[in-house]
Amino acid sequence: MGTGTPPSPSGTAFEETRLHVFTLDYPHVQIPFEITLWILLASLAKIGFHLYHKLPSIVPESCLLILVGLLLGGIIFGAEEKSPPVMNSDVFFLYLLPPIVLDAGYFMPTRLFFENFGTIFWYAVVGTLWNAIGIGISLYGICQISAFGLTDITLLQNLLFGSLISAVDPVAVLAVFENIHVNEQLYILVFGESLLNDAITVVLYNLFKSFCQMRTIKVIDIFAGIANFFIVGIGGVLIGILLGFVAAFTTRFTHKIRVIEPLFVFLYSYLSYITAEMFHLSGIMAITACAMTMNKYVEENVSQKSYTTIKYFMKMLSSVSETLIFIFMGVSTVGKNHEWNWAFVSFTLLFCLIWRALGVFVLTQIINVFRTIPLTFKDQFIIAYGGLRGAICFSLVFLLPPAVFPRKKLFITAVIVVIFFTVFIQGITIRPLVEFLDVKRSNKKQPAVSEEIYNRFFDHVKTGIEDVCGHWGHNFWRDKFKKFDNKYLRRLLIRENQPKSSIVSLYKKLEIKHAIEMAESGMISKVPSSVSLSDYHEGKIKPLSPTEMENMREILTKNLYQIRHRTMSYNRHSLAADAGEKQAKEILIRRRHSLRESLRKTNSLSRERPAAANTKRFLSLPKNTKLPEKLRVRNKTSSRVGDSSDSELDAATTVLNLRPRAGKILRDQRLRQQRPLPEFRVEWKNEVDGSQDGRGEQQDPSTVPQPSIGFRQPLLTRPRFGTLSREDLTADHGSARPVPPPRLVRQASQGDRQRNKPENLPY
Amino acid sequence: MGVAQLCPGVPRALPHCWGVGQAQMGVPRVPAPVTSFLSLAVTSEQIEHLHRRFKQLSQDQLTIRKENFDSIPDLEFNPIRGKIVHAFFDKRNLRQESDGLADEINFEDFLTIMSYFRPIEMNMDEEQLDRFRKEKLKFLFHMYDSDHDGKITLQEYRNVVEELLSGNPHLEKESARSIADGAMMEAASICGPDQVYEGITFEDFLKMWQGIDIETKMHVRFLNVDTIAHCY
Repeated sequence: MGTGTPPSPSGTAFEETRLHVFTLDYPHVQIPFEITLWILLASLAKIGFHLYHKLPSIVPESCLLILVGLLLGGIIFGAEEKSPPVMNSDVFFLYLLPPIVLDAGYFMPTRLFFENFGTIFWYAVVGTLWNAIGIGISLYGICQISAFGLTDITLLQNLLFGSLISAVDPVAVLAVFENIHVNEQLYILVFGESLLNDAITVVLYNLFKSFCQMRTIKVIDIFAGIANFFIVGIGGVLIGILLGFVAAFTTRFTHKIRVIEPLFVFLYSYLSYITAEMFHLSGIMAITACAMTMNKYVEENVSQKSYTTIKYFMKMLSSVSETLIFIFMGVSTVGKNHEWNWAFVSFTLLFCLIWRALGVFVLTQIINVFRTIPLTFKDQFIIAYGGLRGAICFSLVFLLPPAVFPRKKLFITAVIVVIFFTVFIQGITIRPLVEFLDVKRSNKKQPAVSEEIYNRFFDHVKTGIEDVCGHWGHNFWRDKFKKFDNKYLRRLLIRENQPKSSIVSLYKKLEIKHAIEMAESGMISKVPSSVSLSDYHEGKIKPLSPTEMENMREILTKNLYQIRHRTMSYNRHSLAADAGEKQAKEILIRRRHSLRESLRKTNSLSRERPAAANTKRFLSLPKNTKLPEKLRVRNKTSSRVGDSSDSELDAATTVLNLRPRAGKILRDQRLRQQRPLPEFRVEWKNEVDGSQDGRGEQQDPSTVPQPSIGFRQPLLTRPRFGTLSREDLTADHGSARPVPPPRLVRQASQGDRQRNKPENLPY
Repeated sequence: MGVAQLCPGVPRALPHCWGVGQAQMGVPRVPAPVTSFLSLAVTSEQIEHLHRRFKQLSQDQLTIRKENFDSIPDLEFNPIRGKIVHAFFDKRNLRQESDGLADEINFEDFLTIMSYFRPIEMNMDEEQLDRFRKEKLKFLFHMYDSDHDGKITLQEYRNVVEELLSGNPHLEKESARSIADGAMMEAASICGPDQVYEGITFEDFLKMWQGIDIETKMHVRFLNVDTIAHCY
């Protein structure tokens, strides 16, 4: 369409135009072009920040983005001599805010959230009310002082201003708190508050705005306002929950069209947001409720890939939104819509800080009575200090009708100053303050199976005790909900409903993760497993736990097999079960082989052990096939090395790498230097030999796949454990006798023979 | 240590007639003598509530036996019900010097067990907090260590995991075992691989729970007892 000039207006002489070879038609694409440029700019800015790696830890990204926005606004202002485009409040509320809230709601730790729900709710509702009214009234008091030239601002206007500026902003809180890693409890309090206070902010804002426009205010209006609050809050949540269930139900049937599964998640949550906005309910609460409801069920219905897609897409959207918001804030600051009044602005800032601190303090004293874990002063300080204002009040202030608010520009200026102060000063200083006050940080350990077990065990203990003493605690309600959930909801909303245990799913997750890592890397992991590393003080034995090998074997066969099976499914092959097992063994063999190779290459050895000591290790041998034995052998030797086995061991013991590595690595290296290669070989051969002896008879019956075998060996590496295991092992365990070292040559050939054989298996 | 120590204002005869009825329970809150764990702030109110509950469970007898716990409906659904009930009768928890299981417990013992779940006090100092925490963890440890030998062996651990997962019929035993084994390996790593490792000792257990603030989590609020009616 842009290839020719439009025909000249009719009526005049018909001018003939030649064919244009090359035309520029900017208005045609202006809007999408500009949007793309903005988003591109935002993303490039983000890249820029992370180039200098220390920067994000000192200055939160939000500050940098605002600075970029300021720069940009300045350029536009300078170039065009008019105010740059102000962030359209509609654009903000309808397009930029939902992705951020969705992302936050979807990944919210629900358990922690509900445990602290009372506190969060208390802070959000009563705290915001307190702040709003406090700031409004005190500002009104200031306005009464005629010296400041503010007497034309009425009480209602002040109250409205107070209500919009007291809203703690989820965007800003997220942006700042994500870097400082305070403990989850604190984080959830501040963040939860910022989400839930949307309800009260919406209500107060609309209330006071309509009051400002009404001539008289009757008592009935005040009651209407209170009723409105309940409707706004509860209505928003209900819409969210309803649409969340619908979304979960929809995903139950999407197994044939996996590709559009992620779309449903986004569509339904966005739908909940705009539906709530349509009724002037709280959109933020709706989308949060929808995301939290959807999360549990959708996660089980969608495929792994869809889940990953959802996760990444959500994060991407929210990241882009956040960046854009801050840049726009910077851009919108520059311009002619400001009115500066020292008194108003400074007192606004002062009152914001004072009332927030007072509010948190007073409210905490009250809520501590009901809390099981009282909040300390440090917590209170962080909560008060973390009450950051951001883009929500910014947009709300732009939405003020100028007819009713002749001093709108003053408000805008004041809001901007407060936002800048909180984002810059509080945002930058909160990290050193957190460190100075020694606030409990979150420990980002890897999730540990044993921890999960403990937690679950503990939950049950607590529930049990609560039942015994007849008390309804949190656990009681949670249990009741879980039962209801299992009985009705999960049956309805989840496609293949199998009762799920968090322990098992965590364990499986870890297994799969490590199996994938192993399969991808194809190398020994560099991280020594702390179990395999034992402290080699001279003369001390580091027995390798047979169970580790067993573990490894089991996990590998189970999960590597599964993973391979997954990929195979795309080939429309259906592997017969036994073929699959063979394949699994094959995989294991190859694994072993490659590990062995890399072992040899790296020539990393260590560990001397007196030959006698070696024997203890052979106590319990895996009963299965030569394969596992190979594995075991490999494992032992590799564990000697201290690093190779980790890849396998890591599968089972992901979380075992808890100890500081440096010391071990150093020790490894030290030992490695001391140990020559041949000894390594010797040990290896020993094990092969020993294992051969011990289990020759056992191999055939035990060629069944691993799951049925289970673990018969004890987990831990102690010889004593070995003996224990011997006791509780069944007859087919075989008696592994320690075998004296020598016979190098023969062993070597044996080993080779063994090695070669499995490789001849059809792949 | 008896209940008399808890409530010094109460006449010594009271422990014997707990079952009969508590006449004067208006005992002031007891300041804590440092040596007695139990006497730290179990208020008279709480004692009253618990006593009422005890009477319900024991059906107005003086002691409770294992069978009495069957009358709690919600407990049926708890996968580790056995261990919980067992914990009540475990002599180590009851602070008796001997070992093994008691056949029946009286109110004092009941209180003793319940005291493990007291909420943390704001005015506790470091040493008290530490002791507090250790006591709670010891309670949990005894639940794991069923054969009372002071160590959690692999078999016991497996037992625990199997019980925990027993609510899930689809789970194979091997999965439970592999999970238990994985967890034990973790334990071995934390607890130092250079000793002879027979099982998780209490010290190791402490280490493992280090990251989790058990003293704040492990409590039940004894306040709201109107819900007792539910037990029937």
